[in-house]
Amino acid sequence: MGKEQDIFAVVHLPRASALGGLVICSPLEAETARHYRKEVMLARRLAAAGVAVIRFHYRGHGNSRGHPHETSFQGMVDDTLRAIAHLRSRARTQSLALLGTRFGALVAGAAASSFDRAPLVLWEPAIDASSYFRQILRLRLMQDLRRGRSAASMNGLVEEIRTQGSVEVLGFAIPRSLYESSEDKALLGALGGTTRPILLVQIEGRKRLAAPYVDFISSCQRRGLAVDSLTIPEEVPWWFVQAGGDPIDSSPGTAALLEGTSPWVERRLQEATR
Amino acid sequence: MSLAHSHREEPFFFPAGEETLFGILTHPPDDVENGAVIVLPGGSAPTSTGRNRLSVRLTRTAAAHGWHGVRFDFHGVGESTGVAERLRLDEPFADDLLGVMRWLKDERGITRFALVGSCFGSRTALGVSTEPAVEAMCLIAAPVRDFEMGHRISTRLALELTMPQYVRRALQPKVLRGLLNARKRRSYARVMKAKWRALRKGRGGGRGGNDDWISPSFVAHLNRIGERRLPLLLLYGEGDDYLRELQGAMRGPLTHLTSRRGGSSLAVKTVPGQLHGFTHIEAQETVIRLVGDWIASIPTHGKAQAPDRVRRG
Repeated sequence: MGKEQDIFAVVHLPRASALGGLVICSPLEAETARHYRKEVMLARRLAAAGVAVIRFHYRGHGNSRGHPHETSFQGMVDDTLRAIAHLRSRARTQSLALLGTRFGALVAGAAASSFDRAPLVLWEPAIDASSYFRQILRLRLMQDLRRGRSAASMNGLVEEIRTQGSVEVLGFAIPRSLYESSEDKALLGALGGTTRPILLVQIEGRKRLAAPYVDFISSCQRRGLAVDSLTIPEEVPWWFVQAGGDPIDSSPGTAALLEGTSPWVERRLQEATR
Repeated sequence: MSLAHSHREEPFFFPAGEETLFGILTHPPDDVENGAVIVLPGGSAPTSTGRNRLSVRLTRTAAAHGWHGVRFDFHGVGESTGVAERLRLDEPFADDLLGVMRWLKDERGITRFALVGSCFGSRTALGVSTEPAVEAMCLIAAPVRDFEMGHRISTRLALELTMPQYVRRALQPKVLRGLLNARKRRSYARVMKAKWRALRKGRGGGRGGNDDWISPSFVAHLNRIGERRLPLLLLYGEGDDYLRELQGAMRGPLTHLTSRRGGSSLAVKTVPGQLHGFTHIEAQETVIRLVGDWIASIPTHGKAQAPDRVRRG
């Protein structure tokens, strides 16, 4: 590390030759507090099962170089492509799968479009950037109300992004570069017309799939894309500060998430190598 | 000073007990010979990067001031092995901190340490207050009470409210409506359990009178720091409930620390707003500025005084 474009990455290699590789596209930094560990645990589990895995921090985030105010959607996709190239050279495998969580699902979807038939796992995905950011900005409105401030409107916050360069939400900045570069991004559009296996995992405190996910799956099926789905009934406070609680490693939700994802990835990579 | 280009960063793994922990060492520019500033995060953002990369920015600030900066993942967190059981303030992860200090000394020749800890991290820092290699501490929103992380409010209410006040709160319409929500019901159960435990310990309500709500280990550590005359800066936001608790302790078992003959090594600084949890960017920027000033004030060893000979990895 030392150069301005360096990104921090962790590569998990199996002891023997890899049956394939998985690239994990994390959510935005604000959503990693109780989620990061799950990605680590999945990577370790898959490496033990023969799958090489790379996890990385986008430029301007985590331990990587760069400035968060320069984050853009294409930049995040480029970082993913760099991670893929690095994994392929380290693991000496061409067989590839991608996994993305929340906003990271949009990034993974866009990166996957460069790799025909690469299996794609979507953990609690953002279906489109526009509704995702509206959700985030609502948190800012709630935060203002709790602080006794007169809350701006949603349009006011969007204006703030455009004129001030960013808007703050719960101690994180949503930069204009990311907002404007993502506005028209949607998962379905990113997937293109290539057939690939998809696993959609809902991680919410409900057992039935939410309507946006039902609609997404239907649209995929109309395009000839097979989508498996899984619900993990666990409430995850994606953006809220929450100290304590059950240890993530041993929570039933984490176990169910890994049990549902790991065998699916292994199976799809094995099918791809036949 | 530019934080972007002034440093080289080195990831490393080190043993702590039976676990293998992950850390990142930020090197200062060459020819600067100092110790290491170790940043210890709170329980709400326990990974080595901290909330909104605060720990990253703090360690790079330390490097810009000529110190090595160190951030690491506690066991069971981030890239480290192990399982982090429930975080308790009276059981901080001092062994993890001692492990990284040991590695830094054995592998990089670093023998002087300044610690910056927030919330749970501050109590972890206090857990090594007797280590001779620790030369200064900056503790941000340090909790004065002992409780399990996630139970700050329920235990505070248990101490502050009398039973009649409890009942009046419970009968408020918004509280009753909350019974329809599973998450709120769990939260109410925590509050009730905390109150029950407080009642059983004879802490019926209101904090007047005795000091037994103050953590014995917090008092013991601060006393040790006072005896060593270790420079200690306590940083709080004026909106932090921990500040009121510290002020209570300063009127009680810690009074002598502020009136120590010959001057105290303890300084308390407050800033507007809330620091705990770093839920506002302004608070984060304030902390970076104040910690930078504090680092700059720590006495350095000149080359002529046999400083650390840092072995590069």
